[in-house]
Amino acid sequence: MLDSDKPVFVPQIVDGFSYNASMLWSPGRFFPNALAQLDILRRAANYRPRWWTIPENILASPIAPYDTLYYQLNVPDGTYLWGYNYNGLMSAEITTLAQAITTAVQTPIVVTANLSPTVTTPFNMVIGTEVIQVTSTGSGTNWTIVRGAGATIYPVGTQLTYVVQPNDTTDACITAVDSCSGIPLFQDFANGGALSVNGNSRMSPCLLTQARLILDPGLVNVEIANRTGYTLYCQLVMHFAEPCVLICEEERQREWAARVRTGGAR
Amino acid sequence: MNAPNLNNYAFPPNGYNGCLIHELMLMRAINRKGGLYSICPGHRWADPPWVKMPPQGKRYFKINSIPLPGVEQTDFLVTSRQVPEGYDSCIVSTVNIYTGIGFLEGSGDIRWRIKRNEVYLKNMGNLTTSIGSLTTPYNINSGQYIAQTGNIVQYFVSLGPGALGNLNGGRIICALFGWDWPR
Repeated sequence: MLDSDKPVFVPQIVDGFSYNASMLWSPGRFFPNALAQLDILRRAANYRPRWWTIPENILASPIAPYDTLYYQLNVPDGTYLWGYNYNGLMSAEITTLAQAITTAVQTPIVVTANLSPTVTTPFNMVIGTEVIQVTSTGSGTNWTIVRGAGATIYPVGTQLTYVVQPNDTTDACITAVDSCSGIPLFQDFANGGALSVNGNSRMSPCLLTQARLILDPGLVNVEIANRTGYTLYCQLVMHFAEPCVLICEEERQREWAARVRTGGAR
Repeated sequence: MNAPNLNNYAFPPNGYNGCLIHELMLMRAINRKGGLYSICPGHRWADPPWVKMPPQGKRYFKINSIPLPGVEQTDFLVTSRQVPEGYDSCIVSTVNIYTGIGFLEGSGDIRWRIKRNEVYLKNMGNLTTSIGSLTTPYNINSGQYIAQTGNIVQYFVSLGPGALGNLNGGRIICALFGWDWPR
């Protein structure tokens, strides 16, 4: 039997991406397929995760009504883009909630008519590293938030850099293109509103059909287009894996590069 | 062999590293020899077709008008066009005007929006002033908006809150000028 015919067994890796005790594993679902697609990238020792948030500060770069945010990333040569995620908030909400989670354990908030959420049952939100539970307390515009109450879904301290608000008006389109060629890296404008993460999301983050290798000069142009009549505070998270080359492999790369230059290798 | 660094102790190299490095070296080699351009050369123009209309280009005018809408804060489609399949397109000039009375430029009573491929064009998503006229359209000098094959370009108008109290009669006119060229 040839070596290549033998089945290969590799130990399972338990990490933040694969560990979910409440998940029923089924071959047709997102996570098993995501793990299979990203297996090489996850197991390789010469790549490390790097997440970019666009814009860097959600409060500093609101997108005006019907406007488009342009942003350029400069990633290292040889970086892989493997997924992305997006979320957004209205201006009034983000101010109120940011104040609420920093000042009190329980804080009543009032959501104005324009921003009235449509949900009537408690839901969880993640802001920065905080998990809060939002509960309707009356007529539909009064809500109470409880800090840490969603810990059964996300442990407090979970490192999520995007802001979550279900049923929000996050009608924005996002795209990322290679700066040199203008070719979209995943799609010519994906609907960001469909990517909201509310704690029950089963396909998060959104994976590319395959991880995209980004070569020198490593420039990625990102656009987030606000299609609403409101100022939008939002953030796109782009999941990259960037190379951290080991010393011995560096030497091998130099050898390969020399062979390519002399025409000795494909 | 080099002495391993700290990372080697923590994460010794494995076979998966080789897979990724091989792909990286392969793509670098392709890039060094001309990149995707050498595989799929496409066109190279002395004058890009979105700057100067090529001989095979087809000029288009898309002009339409609607009566002043009777509803505020709702987008009404005035004119639209789809880029023909197999062609790319550029928008060279735009026109949006109101022929009635009572409109103060920049007041917000009338807002025009241009949407391409379901996304508003940068800076053209909330125009509060008239632009150009049908005799002298506003020319987007040497920085045309490009629309790719199959894209739909739509010109909307929306009335601001209270606009119906200020505006009287007239029509909303929108126009797109430009050309298509085969890919």
